[in-house]
Amino acid sequence: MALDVKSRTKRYEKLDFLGEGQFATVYKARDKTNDTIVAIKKIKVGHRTEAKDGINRTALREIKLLQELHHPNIIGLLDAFGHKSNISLVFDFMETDLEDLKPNNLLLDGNGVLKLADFGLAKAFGSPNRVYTHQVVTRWYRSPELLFGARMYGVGVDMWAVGCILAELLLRIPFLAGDSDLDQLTKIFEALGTPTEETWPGMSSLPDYVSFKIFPGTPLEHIFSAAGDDLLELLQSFFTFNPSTRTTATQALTMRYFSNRPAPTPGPQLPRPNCAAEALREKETIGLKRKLEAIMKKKLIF
Amino acid sequence: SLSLCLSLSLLAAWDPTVSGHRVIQRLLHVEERYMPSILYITLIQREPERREELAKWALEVCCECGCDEAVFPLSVSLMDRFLSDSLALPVSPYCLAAGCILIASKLTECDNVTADTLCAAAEYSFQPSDLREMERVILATLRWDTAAVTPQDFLPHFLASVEERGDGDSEGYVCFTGMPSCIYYYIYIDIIYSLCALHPR
Repeated sequence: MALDVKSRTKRYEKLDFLGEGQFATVYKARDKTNDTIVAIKKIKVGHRTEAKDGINRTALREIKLLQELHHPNIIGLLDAFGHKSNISLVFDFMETDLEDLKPNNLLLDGNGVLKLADFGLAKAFGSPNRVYTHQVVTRWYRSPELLFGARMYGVGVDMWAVGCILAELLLRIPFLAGDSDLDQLTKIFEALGTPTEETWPGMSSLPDYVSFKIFPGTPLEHIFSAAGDDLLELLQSFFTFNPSTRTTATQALTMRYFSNRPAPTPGPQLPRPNCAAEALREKETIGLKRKLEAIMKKKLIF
Repeated sequence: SLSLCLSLSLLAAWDPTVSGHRVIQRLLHVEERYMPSILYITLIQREPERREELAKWALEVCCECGCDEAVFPLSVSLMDRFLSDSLALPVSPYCLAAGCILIASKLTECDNVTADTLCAAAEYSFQPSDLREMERVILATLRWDTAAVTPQDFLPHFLASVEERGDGDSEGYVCFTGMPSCIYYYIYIDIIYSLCALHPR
């Protein structure tokens, strides 16, 4: 294994620091064997108790799923190597910055093709009958059944997250940004109205259920005033409280929004994002004088 | 009786979105990809005792540790694929089996079995550091590709399609969904998991 790491370290030349999350640090690197640019995600070693049991299991699961999945809209895992309890994953390099569905994990490549990333908490599709933990999905994108502690859930949790992402694209800020699980539920019910046993049968028997004040909710057309009827209809279907009647991806794709004009812009014609890493490097290379100039200009603007 | 000691855990609700013909086709495709090599199968069939012994030991350990029922078949699948690649038993075969259980547990359980527990189960014939080293060797050998398809993956889909067709005999199928049949196959024959699910003893 030591040899393995040595040869891999030689193979990839670190170019830039791209970002840091709770579980990993991401670097931009060059693969010397074929001169391509890649992103290397180095999984952080957990605390000592975790390292005692060897390889980090979140990383192990992510690698397993990425090996199984090959899809144009899923980020490609090119290589994986490890030493002690460290693991490095090598991915296609994406222009936008870097187990769960949230805007930070949606990447765009140079041709404007959307890629899903971060499968640390993802579950296998072919084997649905597994015990689940409810501590999944970043809180703002978590569905009400997960917040109420449901251990048996399905693809509905992802559809709720898709609704939150769509809402965020429209609002340009997170739609439901709770700072605790209870606050999250409050924010959901304030916006969408408190569900009842009638609108969501079985709700009150969920493990962490607590009864909430009855909020009437705000009509979606008031929150998303620029959205057309077809888009509101789509949003409404994602924000259905009862998980068993919430829309599935297949159903959602048959809705009017996806066939109505205007048609989506082809990927390569989408506006290109400013590459964060390029901007960062540029900042480092400009001299102090130019930095000062830049700061002054900013001050003038404000 | 061995099968009964595997923990019976709370299962996720049946999700119709992830069932049906498409999923079975996909499972069959993936199964093929994770099949042990023909050479290995031939060698095992000629002299099955060592593998049986290791698989039985793995089953006992999974039972003792109260592992989820998915852990044992996955560990045996990992072990078969490792041996398929190396075609030789490591110095400590039990350490190999324990390493496979460790990986399988991390992949499938909410609270995975610890390295200490596995060492204790093997009466400390190897140390946690040996086990961690073994885990890395296994992962490197499998090129970090630890997915597998097990009979349990097929059963719910087969059952659902039987119920859909309305074949009156679905009770007959239900009675073999239990673990014993699958365990039997894992220890003695293993190999084609979709067939294990279809033709249990």
